Amino acid sequence: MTQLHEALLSSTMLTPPGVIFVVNDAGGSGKSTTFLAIADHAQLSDIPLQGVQVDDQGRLPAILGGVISIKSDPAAVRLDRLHEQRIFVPLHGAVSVSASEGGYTVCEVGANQAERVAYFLKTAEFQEDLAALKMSSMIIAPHLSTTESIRLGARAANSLLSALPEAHLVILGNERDGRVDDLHPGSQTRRLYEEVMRPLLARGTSIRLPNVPSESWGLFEAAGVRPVDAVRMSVEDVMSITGLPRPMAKIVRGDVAAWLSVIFAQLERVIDFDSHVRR
Amino acid sequence: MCAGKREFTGAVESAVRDACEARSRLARECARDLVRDPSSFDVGKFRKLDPRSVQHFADTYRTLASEIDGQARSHRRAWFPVVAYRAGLITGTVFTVLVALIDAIG
Repeated sequence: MTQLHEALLSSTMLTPPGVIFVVNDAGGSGKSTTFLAIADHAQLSDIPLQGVQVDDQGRLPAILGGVISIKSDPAAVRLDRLHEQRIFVPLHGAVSVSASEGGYTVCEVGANQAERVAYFLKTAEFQEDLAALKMSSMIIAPHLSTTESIRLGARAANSLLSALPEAHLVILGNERDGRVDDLHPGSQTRRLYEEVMRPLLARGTSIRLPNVPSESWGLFEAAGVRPVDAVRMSVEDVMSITGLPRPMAKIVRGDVAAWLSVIFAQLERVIDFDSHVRR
Repeated sequence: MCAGKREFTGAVESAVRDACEARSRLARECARDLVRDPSSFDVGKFRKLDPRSVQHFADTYRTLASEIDGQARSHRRAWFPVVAYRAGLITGTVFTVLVALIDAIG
């Protein structure tokens, strides 16, 4: 029974080297938070990580140093049809580095960018590149309990799956606005979830992104602080960046700590952060 | 477990413990404010409480409220003989005056 459990677990778990795409065509669904949590966990586990963000309004490079930003340039595409292919070359570069270092490449695909990225992955035969590099891939689709987020999340996940049919799929339920399971079975949102997400869940794994109490994380996020650094900050530093009195500073830091440890535990169900072997 | 994760686990435990203590203190403060001067009750502070600290709030509120209630009861008890004595005195005086008047008229 234990062997069967381990076999089932390993079949859904991404091991290094690998590439992870975080997608949802809706904004504010938790993509950047998921990216940051993976980056923080990789840093704590000494796993090399390459970060890529395909988004015209990406804010990750400001928080995380070294994140490659890929933005669209419609004017350049009109002049040079191959521009759209060349613009993704840094993603290839990041994946090659991860393959040689035995780490992960995490690519956040911004709102309304999934179709564009999927098109590139298909035309570049990215799945074959990954096989040649002996790398696995994972698609993480975070979604809120809202109609728009579920619909666009499923659409983005399907786009990426059409380009990477061998990828592990993870549906990440962001509980910021409540849980899908708590919705009335007859509600429009719940019916949509059953219609578009349930079939995806049949071939993937479901994990959760817990809600952080009293919007404590927003204060650190606004100051451009990484979650893991927020937890390790002294109370005096938290007071200085948030402007809160001491008891409140302790509360918001504790909230982020409890929240991050749950996110880490959830990510550990699908991503292997322990078996990093340098090649 | 690598050193980074060990250090992080320690930081999480310490941060969560600090937050728990801060919330308990905040809960007691909120309860004191509500009992002593409801106009000074800060809803913003109260919203920072979690289910566990709301229990602290309820316990402190109950204790303080029963203390105040007890004080009020003993206060009432101390004043009862005085009030009864005065009421008796007034009733006696009125009765005496009435009897004297009836006697005078009759």
